[in-house]
Amino acid sequence: MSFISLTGGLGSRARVGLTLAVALALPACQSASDKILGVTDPDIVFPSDVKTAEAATSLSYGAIGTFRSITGAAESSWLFGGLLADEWSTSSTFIENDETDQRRVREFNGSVTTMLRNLYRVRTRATEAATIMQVLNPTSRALIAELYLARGFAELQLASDFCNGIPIGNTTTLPPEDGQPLSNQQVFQLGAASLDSAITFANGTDAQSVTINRAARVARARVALALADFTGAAGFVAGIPTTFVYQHTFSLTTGTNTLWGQGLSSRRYSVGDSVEGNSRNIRVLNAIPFASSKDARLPVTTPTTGAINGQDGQTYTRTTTVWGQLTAVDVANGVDARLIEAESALRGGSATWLTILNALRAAPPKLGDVQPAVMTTLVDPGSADARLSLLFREKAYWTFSRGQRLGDLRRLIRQYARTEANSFPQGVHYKGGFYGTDVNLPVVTAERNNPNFKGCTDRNP
Amino acid sequence: MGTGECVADSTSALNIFDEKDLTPVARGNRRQTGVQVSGGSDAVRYFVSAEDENELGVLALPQFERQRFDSVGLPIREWVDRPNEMNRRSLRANVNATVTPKLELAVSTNFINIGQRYSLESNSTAGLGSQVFGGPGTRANGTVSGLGTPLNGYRAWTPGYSWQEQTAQSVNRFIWSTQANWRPFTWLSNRATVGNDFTSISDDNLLYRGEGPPLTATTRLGSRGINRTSTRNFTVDVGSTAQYKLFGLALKTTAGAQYIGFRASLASTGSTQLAPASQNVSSGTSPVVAEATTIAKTFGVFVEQAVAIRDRLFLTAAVRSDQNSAFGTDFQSVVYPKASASYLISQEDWFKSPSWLNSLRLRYAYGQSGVQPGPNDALRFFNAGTTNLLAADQPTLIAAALGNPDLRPERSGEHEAGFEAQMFGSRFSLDATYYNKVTKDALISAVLPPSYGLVASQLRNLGSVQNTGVELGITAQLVDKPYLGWDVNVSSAINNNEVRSLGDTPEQIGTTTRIRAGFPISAYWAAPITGFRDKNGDGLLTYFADTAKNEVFVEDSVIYRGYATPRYNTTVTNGFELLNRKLRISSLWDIRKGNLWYNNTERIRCTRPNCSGRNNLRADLVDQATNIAANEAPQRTLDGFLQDGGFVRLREASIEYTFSASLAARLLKARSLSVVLSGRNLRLWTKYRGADPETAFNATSGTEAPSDFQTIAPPTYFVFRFNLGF
Repeated sequence: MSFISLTGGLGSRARVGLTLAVALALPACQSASDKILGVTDPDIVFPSDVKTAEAATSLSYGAIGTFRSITGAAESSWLFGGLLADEWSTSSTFIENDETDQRRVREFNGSVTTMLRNLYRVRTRATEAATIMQVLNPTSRALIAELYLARGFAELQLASDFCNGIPIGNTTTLPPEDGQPLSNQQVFQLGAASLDSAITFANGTDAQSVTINRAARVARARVALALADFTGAAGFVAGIPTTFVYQHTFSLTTGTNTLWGQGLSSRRYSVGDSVEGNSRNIRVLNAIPFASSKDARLPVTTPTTGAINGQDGQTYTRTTTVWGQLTAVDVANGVDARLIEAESALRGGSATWLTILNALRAAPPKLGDVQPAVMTTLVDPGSADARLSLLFREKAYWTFSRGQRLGDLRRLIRQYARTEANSFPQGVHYKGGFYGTDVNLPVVTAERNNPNFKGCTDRNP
Repeated sequence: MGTGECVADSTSALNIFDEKDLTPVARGNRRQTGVQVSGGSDAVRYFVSAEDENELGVLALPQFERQRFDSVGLPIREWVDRPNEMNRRSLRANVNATVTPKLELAVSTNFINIGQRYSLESNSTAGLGSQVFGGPGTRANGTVSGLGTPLNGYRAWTPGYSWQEQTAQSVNRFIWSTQANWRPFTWLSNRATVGNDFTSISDDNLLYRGEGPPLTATTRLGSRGINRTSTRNFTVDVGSTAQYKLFGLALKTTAGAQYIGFRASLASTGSTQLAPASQNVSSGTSPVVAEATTIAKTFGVFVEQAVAIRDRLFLTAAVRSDQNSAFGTDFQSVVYPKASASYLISQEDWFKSPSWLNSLRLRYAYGQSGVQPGPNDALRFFNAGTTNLLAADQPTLIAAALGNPDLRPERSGEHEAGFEAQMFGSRFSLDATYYNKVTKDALISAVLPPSYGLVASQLRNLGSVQNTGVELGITAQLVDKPYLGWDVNVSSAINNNEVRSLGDTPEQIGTTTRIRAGFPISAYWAAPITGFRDKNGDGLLTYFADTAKNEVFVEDSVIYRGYATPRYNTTVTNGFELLNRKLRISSLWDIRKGNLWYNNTERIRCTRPNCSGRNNLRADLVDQATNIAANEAPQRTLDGFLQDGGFVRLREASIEYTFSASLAARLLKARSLSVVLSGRNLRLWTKYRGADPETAFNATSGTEAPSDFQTIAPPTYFVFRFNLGF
């Protein structure tokens, strides 16, 4: 008796056998699937493809392109540091900008998150590229030096602008290491080491090596100032000509100058002033009157009537023509060197500090697109405190929106016994409420995905 | 105000949507026409249909803008006049042929053409929402910067400037498939389907030089952009089914294989700073080009065994294996089993069924399914680009993705148990299901710490997420007379969602959402406003650091606040048929409860500031507290903007009249004739304090929750439909 009931065709057992055979054979099709599923995406380049000197060079260019994003090619802490200090005021629709200008920055500030990511990216990408360059293209020492300069500059900017408790880990491993929070001082020391490497590699006599060497020395001197090594700082910049510049450049196809783009073009940032409000009747204590002082280094247009020009639709934006769409930005220059020498001299009790400042005013180098006219000679104000104020005020004009002002205000508190109350903007804010008490940017909420990070260690200067 | 430092002299308010000359909303219209033809012989059958559809959106150039354009002789182009319009045409043709008694072939084709234009609306500084919700509450708010035309209450510029930029999309889609069914024996059938879905999309935008909003110094210098995207989804599906009997059981064995190959290619070009009157991308002085390709392939095989026992108990078991080009290098394939049982218990002799119960079916199923990662999600790679160094453009390589060699498909295992009951002469049916779905290795875009110095996120497999819930469906024919009918359908669902484990992935923290074990995925979190009290009775809430004087109280800790999507969903349809069933009146109601909705529009309005809670002396205290907690209390919490998203909505109501066949024949020589008048989005009841608790500029996915951000609420539709059959 058959226990199988089928109709038509093959014999009963054969039919069941065929059915089972088909069922069992199908998984075998999987063996052929490796070929079927092979995919080559033309958009991507694998790390294993980076095996020539040219590829290593392109990787380096990528890292230095990222370096541009923390200076003038993107909305960076050069701008947000300026908002938190007194260089810029907000005329943006973004609460991220408003709260930074109000010195009450929330930890989840999305713009600060992007800026912080870019700073870290410079570190990681520069480190990766420098490592690969030393294997595949070791003779391009100036380029390797520039990568260390990028890393050191990012570390300098991180420590200058952000709170204590900045996580730093080895990010070239996979998976990346969760970094331990470091103090600003520790991050400055990391920057010193990176910049020392840059100086070591930039030891050639070709133009590029000389430029990178000088830029690294200026940045290294800034780190020395931050670490209160005033004599050492002057030593690093000795002999650097005042005309020296190391710049980040722009083009229509690779990105334009963001200081222009966010300021004059989009009118999201208004040049800072000591009087705010469309009626110009709100006093901002401690703020340098960048706009109303009519300084030759910073020409500013201040509208007070007619259509509101700010992006927020409610603020008269004060604009400057220092930068145009493609104006290169000075990352480090000879003016920085002179100012560092001047501070070192003042700290050491030498009268040359004023000589240096007046020499700059007598033969002012070009700043962006502006060639300042010769300025009147400064007179020694007499007291130590007034001299300090004069030096930092002069520096603020010479370095406007180049990422130095926030760090300098913090140093005034840390190294010169000034206070938050007599250094940072104070009083009623023209967009509502009062200025807060922040003196730095927070390491952001996204970093809490690093289990070692529990928030800023402190928000001290 | 509350501290006495300022004195208010007046409060003004302006709702642009309520002002006849200012509103950017007008009446839109929608038209849809279709025809279907079918016929053939027993051997060859055909079906052809064509449809034409047009919708003109509700946005329209306001009256004051029309006057401005007229007064200065500016042309009102059609995309400025009515920025949103969609035209859709489709043609479908199917042919089925019985080649031999054992072989059937079918070919299906469908061509769709969509042409549409639209305008920027939400989440954009240049969009309409930013301008219409962002004004200061008065018409007398000055002029557009650099252009001198009145703002009339709009924020920075008026709709005519925004809509001068033409944004258009054209879609051509061709779908074809061929299917063969071959039954060599009565017990064996084989099928093979080969198909392709090809879509070509062209996105175009154009802003003439000298037009558009003064967004930046270069915006009004003109711009042109062209994106061409083509996607191809090629599928092959083969399978065999054998039906036989064994030990007196009816058995069915099915085995098959599937292949899906997906490819998307984008080529785009654009430029800004065009020549005057030029529409051509090559006239721009600042060109950009881009290219992108996405490729994904999946291959899977499956075997399924079904058993029918006495036509009452049906058992099925199956297993499927998938392999995908997106899997991580350390992960090769995935196997998904499933099994189900369905038992028509009311047919059993021993089942003592009450007279009102017509049938009762019990069912249970368990199945696993998966979601593949994106094509490149597992890979670590660089992107090539350019930068400018020393005033020269240079090629670059930049880390673009961290990759994840351990990336696995998301896998869900779901138990479903329930019953279906037919009662009272099958006029009442009840369908109930309990489900318990555990998703392991859930794919999420994990936020990476900035300190990695890498990309912002990495696709990872989360530990596990559990969804449990109950779904109920009720269909009732309450009255069923020749002259009167009354039917009600209710479908209701309750869902509980919980992240059970995060595995190796750390807690995910966003601005308003978090993913934490023990809580719903992507739920809203905030430091809660615990209360507010107008202590001094001045009608104004004020924040004071001094707790004795403070009037708005906020907790320091960020805690879970609620679901981002509705937990309770109920849809009710109610229909009456009158006049011998020729007239049908029906309504459809949606009830959603149990979630918060992020009123991000009010959040930004309070920072500008132009929200009632900040500017209106008579604002509700809850709105004042919301503003103060966000902008003055040290916690800066967004809690007040996370608002009750529950609602009851009269989603649709319609009235349909079917003419008698004789009247249809006499009037139009037609076989049938009916007319329908319906309305959609007719009425909303909600505690949500924004425009609409269903508006969001984004969709929920991964760590993202919906956000009503300067979004215009959906319109109300009134549709008249005319059905004619020959």
